[in-house]
Amino acid sequence: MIQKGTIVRVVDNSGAKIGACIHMYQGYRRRYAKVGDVIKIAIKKIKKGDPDLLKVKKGSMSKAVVVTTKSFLKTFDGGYKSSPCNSVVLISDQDTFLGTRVFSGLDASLRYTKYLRLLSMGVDVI
Amino acid sequence: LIHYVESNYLKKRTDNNFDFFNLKVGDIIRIGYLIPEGEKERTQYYQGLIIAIKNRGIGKSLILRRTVQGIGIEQVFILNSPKIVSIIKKQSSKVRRSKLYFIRKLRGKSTRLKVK
Repeated sequence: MIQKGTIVRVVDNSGAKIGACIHMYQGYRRRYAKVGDVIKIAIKKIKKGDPDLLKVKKGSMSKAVVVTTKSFLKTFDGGYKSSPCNSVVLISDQDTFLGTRVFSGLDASLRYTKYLRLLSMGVDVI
Repeated sequence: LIHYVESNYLKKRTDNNFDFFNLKVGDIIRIGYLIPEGEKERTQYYQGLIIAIKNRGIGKSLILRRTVQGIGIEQVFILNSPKIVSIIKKQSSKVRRSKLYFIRKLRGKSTRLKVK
C-alpha cells in the first residue's frame, strides 16, 4: 500500500536510487498503490558518479511501476506475501522502461499486468 | 457445526504426508506449490523457516521466512489449500517460543537456531 509521500527504492539501472511518491494514476483520488500500479515519483537521490551519464536528474519527476511492497499482498488462493522494501521501476510516458536491468526480485503478480517483460529482466520472481 | 462442514475440505492423512501433519515452529521446510503459468500449472518449491503457525481449523496457516538474494521475504501459506502439493521437513530446531518474530530484526549468524 504505497501512498502519497511514501519513500520508494528504485531498483533499475536508470540512475535514480530513491524517490518519493507524489501522485497515483488510474482513478480519481486513488489512495493506495500495490504491485503493478503506476505512480509518479519525484527523484530524491541518484547514483554517485557523472550525472551526465545517467538517464534522470535529481529533482525531476518520473512515472514508475510498483514491483514489491512491504504490506502483505494477497495471493490467488488466500495466502499472503511481503517484501522488506517498497520498490519501483521507472517507466516513460509511452510505457517503455528507462533502465535495462532490474536489480531485485519481483513479485509474481506482475505476470498478470502489462509489465510482464519485467519478470525476465529481474533477478528472481518472488 | 463448523467442524462438520469443514471436515469435508480438510486434508487427509496418508502414508506420504507424515511431515505435513507434524509441522512445528522452527522447522526448515520445502513446500511444493502449484503456480499457474499461462494455461499450465507448474510446481514451484519454496524453502524456508517456519516462524509462525496459526491453527484456525480449515484456515490453518503458516508463515515461511526465506532469504532471496540477500533480502528476507515472508509468505503466508494456507495449509488446506489444494495448491500445496508437498511439504518436506529438512531440519528441526529447538525453540522455546510459539512465534519467532524476533528473527525479523536479526541478521546473519544470530538468526541461526539450535538444531534438535
